[in-house]
Amino acid sequence: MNDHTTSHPIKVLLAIEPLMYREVMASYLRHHRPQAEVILASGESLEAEVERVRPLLIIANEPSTTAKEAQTFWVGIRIGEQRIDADISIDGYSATVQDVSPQDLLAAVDRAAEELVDGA
Amino acid sequence: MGRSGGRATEEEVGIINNPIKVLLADDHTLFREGLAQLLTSYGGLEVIAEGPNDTWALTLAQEKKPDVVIMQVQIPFEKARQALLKMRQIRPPPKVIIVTMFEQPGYLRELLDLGIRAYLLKSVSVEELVGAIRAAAFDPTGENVVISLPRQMVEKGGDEANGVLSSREMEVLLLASRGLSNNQIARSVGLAEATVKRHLSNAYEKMAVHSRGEAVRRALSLGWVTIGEITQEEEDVQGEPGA
Repeated sequence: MNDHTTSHPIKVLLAIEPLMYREVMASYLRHHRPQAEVILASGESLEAEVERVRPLLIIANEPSTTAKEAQTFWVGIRIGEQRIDADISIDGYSATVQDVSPQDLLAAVDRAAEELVDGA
Repeated sequence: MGRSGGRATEEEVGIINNPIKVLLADDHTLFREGLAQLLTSYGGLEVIAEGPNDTWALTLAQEKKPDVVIMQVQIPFEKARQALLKMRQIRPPPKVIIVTMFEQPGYLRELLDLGIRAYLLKSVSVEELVGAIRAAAFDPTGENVVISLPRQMVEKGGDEANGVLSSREMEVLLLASRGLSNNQIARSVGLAEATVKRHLSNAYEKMAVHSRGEAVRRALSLGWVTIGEITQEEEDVQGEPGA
């Protein structure tokens, strides 16, 4: 995936469990993409927050039905015993990343922002 | 300083000039790399190295002499036990903080005996972890430990204090739950078959059960083992999965 920064403000809804992972990723995204608005939600409140926030990109453990219906871009995080994999779906682009890194999530944010600009 | 802002006090200046050296081991790259950056953004903390498992952590701890080691509980537990025992032989010994997804009070007592300074689940906030790091670093005697567990789990653990298995009993029970015979377990963990039988017998007694099937069902219901651990192939267990 592309790994360049974006200057376009986008809303990212982050609903990774457990809490420590969610906080760590939020901090990372805010630090490296300060123009992105990162909103946190628990797994339980994900659906309601999708309705309320209308994010461009959702990063969560389970791909959200609401997100799919809303055609929102999403990253599904699968936490295994030895590594974390991610399923990325952004406007027709889809990929599975094994042993996903923070940089992969930044790339997903950038790609979502790109799609926002291209679609504008 | 760091995230708190404002003018630094003398104590804070001291911390900045002499930050707590942290070594971070976790096999989840996403979490580990992100946490390393986040901890560094706090005043008075310096992540001097980060890597995937307790074997790596032990090697780096011997070389870099960190103040604090953050690591997970590796499976099989015996590997974690050996790593912690060797960690204690480092001079000065680092303060070890366990950050884990395991909600297994059965391991907690054993880990405390091995000298850990804190045990936190990954379901708690990073703020609690930072507090635990500072508490560990500034408590030279190690008289106090930080344990962050759901209240329900602690209360449950207290009720069942007499039913807590040792790490060896837990390991034998896990292998038995995978369908290994006593002989196979004995060869796997390097014990005599009679010793394996004794460990199983002790485990049954503590768990108030009378068979393997009962023991496995009870261990599952108590959260001592997971379906994933039971179905995991033994070859995988020889690796170093953690949580």
